[in-house]
Amino acid sequence: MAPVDRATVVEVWPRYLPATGGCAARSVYHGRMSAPSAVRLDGPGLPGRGNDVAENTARRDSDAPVIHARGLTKRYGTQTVVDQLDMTVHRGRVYGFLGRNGAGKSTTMKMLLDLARPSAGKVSVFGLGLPEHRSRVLPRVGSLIEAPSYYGHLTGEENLDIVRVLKRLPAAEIERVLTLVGLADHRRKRASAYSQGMKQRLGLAMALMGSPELLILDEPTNGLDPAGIQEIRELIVSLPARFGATVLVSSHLLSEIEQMADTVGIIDHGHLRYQGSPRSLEDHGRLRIAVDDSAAAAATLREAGWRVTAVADGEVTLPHLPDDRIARVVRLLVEAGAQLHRVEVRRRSLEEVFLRMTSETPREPLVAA
Amino acid sequence: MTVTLRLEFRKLRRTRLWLTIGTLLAFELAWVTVALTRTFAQHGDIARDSGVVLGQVLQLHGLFGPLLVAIVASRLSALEHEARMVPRLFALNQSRPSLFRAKFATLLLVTLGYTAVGGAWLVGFGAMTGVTAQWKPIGIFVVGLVAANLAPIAIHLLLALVTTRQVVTLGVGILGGVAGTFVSFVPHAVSLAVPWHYYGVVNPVRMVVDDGSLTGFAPVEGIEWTVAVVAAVGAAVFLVALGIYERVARE
Ligand SMILES: Nc1ncnc2c1ncn2[C@@H]1O[C@H](COP(=O)(O)OP(=O)(O)O)[C@@H](O)[C@H]1O
Ligand SMILES: [Mg+2]
Repeated sequence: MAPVDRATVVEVWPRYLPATGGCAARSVYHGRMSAPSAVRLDGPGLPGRGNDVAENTARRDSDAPVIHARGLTKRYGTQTVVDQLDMTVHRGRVYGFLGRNGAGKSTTMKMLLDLARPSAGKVSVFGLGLPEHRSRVLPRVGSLIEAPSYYGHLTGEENLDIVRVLKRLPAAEIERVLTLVGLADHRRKRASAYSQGMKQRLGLAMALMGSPELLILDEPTNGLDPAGIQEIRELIVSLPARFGATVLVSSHLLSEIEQMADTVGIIDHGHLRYQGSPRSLEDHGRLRIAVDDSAAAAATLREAGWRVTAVADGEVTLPHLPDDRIARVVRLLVEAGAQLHRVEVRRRSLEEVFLRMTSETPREPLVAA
Repeated sequence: MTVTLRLEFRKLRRTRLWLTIGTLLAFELAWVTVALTRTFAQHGDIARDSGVVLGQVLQLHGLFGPLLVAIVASRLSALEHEARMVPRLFALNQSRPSLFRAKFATLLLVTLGYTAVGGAWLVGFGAMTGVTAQWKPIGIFVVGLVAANLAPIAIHLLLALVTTRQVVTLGVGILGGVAGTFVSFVPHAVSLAVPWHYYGVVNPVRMVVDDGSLTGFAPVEGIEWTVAVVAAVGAAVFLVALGIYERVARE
């Protein structure tokens, strides 16, 4: 057994590949072992997010939540569409509301806007109970619910003017939101002549009128092309910083939510099955080491007091370890003369976690954070 | 209220509603004019009286009134249904009653405009053909028409707003129009229970017919009270419809 050159075949897979990966999240890291093995969600498009979430959580959570729902339930006839839902959305957050089609996302959002009356439970927005304080809450909220709504025979500008009048805003507001959503050049075109994506932008523009403190956006990227999705996503993510908005955004696509949200709520068959940071959803994974002689490597490790969970042909598996300890494991094996081919952290992707949580058939809630 | 009312008119921009209303009005006026010309030719000078004009108008408007209300109510509502804007308006803090009231007021103004234009035409036609205008019954008739519109407007608007399919309100409008033309064959008390008959009920003059020929006109006794009852029923129907809409419009 030839000793391994330290700088060569050490591979770790810390980066997180969401929708594409399917099974194991993996990425390649060449070189030193100090690569971060914790999954980071502050990828491109999320500047400044991620690390400071924990501190912000501590600080902001002491504030009263912007949305607070307790035992929220909606029945249509005998069908229970939203079941005992507890939801808390904190100020300045982008809360991703994730669930398959028909899970109850739109119905929940409608109840937050007093468009549907809960069959049971309580909702308060800005600490004000609904429906009693409807007229105090709604002026502070912008919303986009289900398919975009617009008067097709009116121009984009005229549509926005109707919202402007209802919200008692200055005329300049129309210009501002048109620019914000990139419709300024199409303002004088009838909305019925807009493309799907432009209609969606118009809907978003209506929601953004008056820079509301809370935005409730139901699948806002529906019908947009990939470039449009990216643009709208960036816009949504920028809203808290831009005007201190809190955003509740729904989607049936995990990849959407994880790129926008710093808090996730997963709804399935009307049950909220998870609520909290997307990070705590993640599977910590296992450490897999490909070696020439797995039996010998396992013996070496066990002798030194490491826990080996599986030994296969050419591969030993250990529980997930922090970076410095991975380095120690590698050093131990190398010094014992083992030839390492690969070191990787394998974890279940968020996609898998999500798919396990949201099944075709209803289940009892698993997690409540 | 004025703000939301203005919005309703803005939403009608570029719709063909004004054209539709104009066509309906032109059709009704042409019909009345032809009918009056024939009556004048048949009965001579005795028929050149505003009583004849009012009688003729009431007969036709029993048909056209409900149609006008049904068409406009349907258009005002279909506009929102097609745009899927109703929930959005509510989420924008327009209350359900406010939306109903704004559309109700729009309809009232549209019917008022219709009456004004039609009335002006008839006054002009009367002046040209030598009809003696009696302003008191004409005034009562106009007020009566406004009162008569209240209940049908409320009913049609409610139907049009709660049902997405406008077949319902248009169907009711056609039936109401047909029912309205039968007003002369139905006892007064019964007519008071049928909002689509109100256009006929508010006629302030009746013809005096002797031996099958027209001999003159007499004011209807207590017409002011009838108009007041029609207005009161209209107001009550409006309040009930408003209450129903507020409950139904919430999922
Ligand atoms: N007005 C309604 N009447 C009856 N059932 C409804 C109504 N609205 C929604 N539902 C049902 O409630 C369930 C959840 O719908 P929804 O909240 O729209 O889901 P999502 O937005 O997550 O796709 C679906 O099964 C849907 O059919
Ligand atoms: Mg939905």
